[in-house]
Amino acid sequence: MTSGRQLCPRCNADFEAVVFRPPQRRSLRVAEVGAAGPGGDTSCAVHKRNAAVANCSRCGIFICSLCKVEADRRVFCPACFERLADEDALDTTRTKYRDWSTLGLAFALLGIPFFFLGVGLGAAAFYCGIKAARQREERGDSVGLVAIYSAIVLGALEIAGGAIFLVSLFR
Amino acid sequence: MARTAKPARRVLLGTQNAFARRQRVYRIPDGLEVEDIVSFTITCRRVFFDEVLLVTYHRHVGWPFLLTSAAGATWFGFVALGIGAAGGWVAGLTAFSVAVLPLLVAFVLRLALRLDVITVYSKRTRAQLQFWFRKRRARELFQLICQLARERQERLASELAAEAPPAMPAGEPPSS
Repeated sequence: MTSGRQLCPRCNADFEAVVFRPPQRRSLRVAEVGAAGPGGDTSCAVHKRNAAVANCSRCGIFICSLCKVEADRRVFCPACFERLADEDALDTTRTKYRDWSTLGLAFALLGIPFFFLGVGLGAAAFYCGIKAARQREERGDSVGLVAIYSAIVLGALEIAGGAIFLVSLFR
Repeated sequence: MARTAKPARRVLLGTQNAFARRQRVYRIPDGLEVEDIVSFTITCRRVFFDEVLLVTYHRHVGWPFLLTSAAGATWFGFVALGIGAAGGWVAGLTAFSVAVLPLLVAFVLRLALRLDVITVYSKRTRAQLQFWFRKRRARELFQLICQLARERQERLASELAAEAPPAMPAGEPPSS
């Protein structure tokens, strides 16, 4: 495909395309232990022929440039990296999050028809709203404040309304 | 584990809503971040500017939307007709304006304006932005994404060229 106007094979309409040719990164150069002479280099724990270039910041084993994984400004061996990524312990590898903002709003809206459950639903909305505000700050979002504040304010109102309802019920 | 650095600020570029899922596309310093939201779970993926292969700007009608709105308008039209026949023209007209008119307006608007779609293909994934009304914004974003991808790839190419080992000086081959 070339850049410029093209004909879409599906809808037969024109579309504009810009083609890029991203530069290829060169393959990694791995230093061998033998090249450094006797006693010159420590070998990698996994690849005995390769010279170690770092230590894993979690388990401490020697790793070569093939094994070296950099994440969250730390260096890991592949095994530790996989384990931490599986545990969602690394910020940079996390791909799934709870949508606290929508969840809070859902609890808050649910609390309107079910006002008699206002204490529970309002508390849930309030909690989710606070979590959403923290998540928004952590992720550096520029939008989404309306939903968060709506959940927090509605949640607080529902807690108060629900408490008044319960008090009036038992008096 | 302690957090090492605050993530960079994201700028929302566009949203896309379907029946069961929503999608948000953000601009991050080194690419685009796509958030797929299904129920209450967000799944992120990223399209990096230095891996972009193709950016397209497509304008299409979107037949599923047209068919759905036409079918809805027809169905509710019959319902409004029934209401009008049973309860008088005021009730029929009210039902028509509440249920049928919005669908008809959406149908005509979609046919007239069409949907502008920007798709960014990278080596591993892709991002898509859809614009129904904001055509100028779509055009600006298309140009911005192309410009950012071009700049990023040119910078990477110059970095790689600077890292390249110096060429061997031309000389006589070693004698054996």
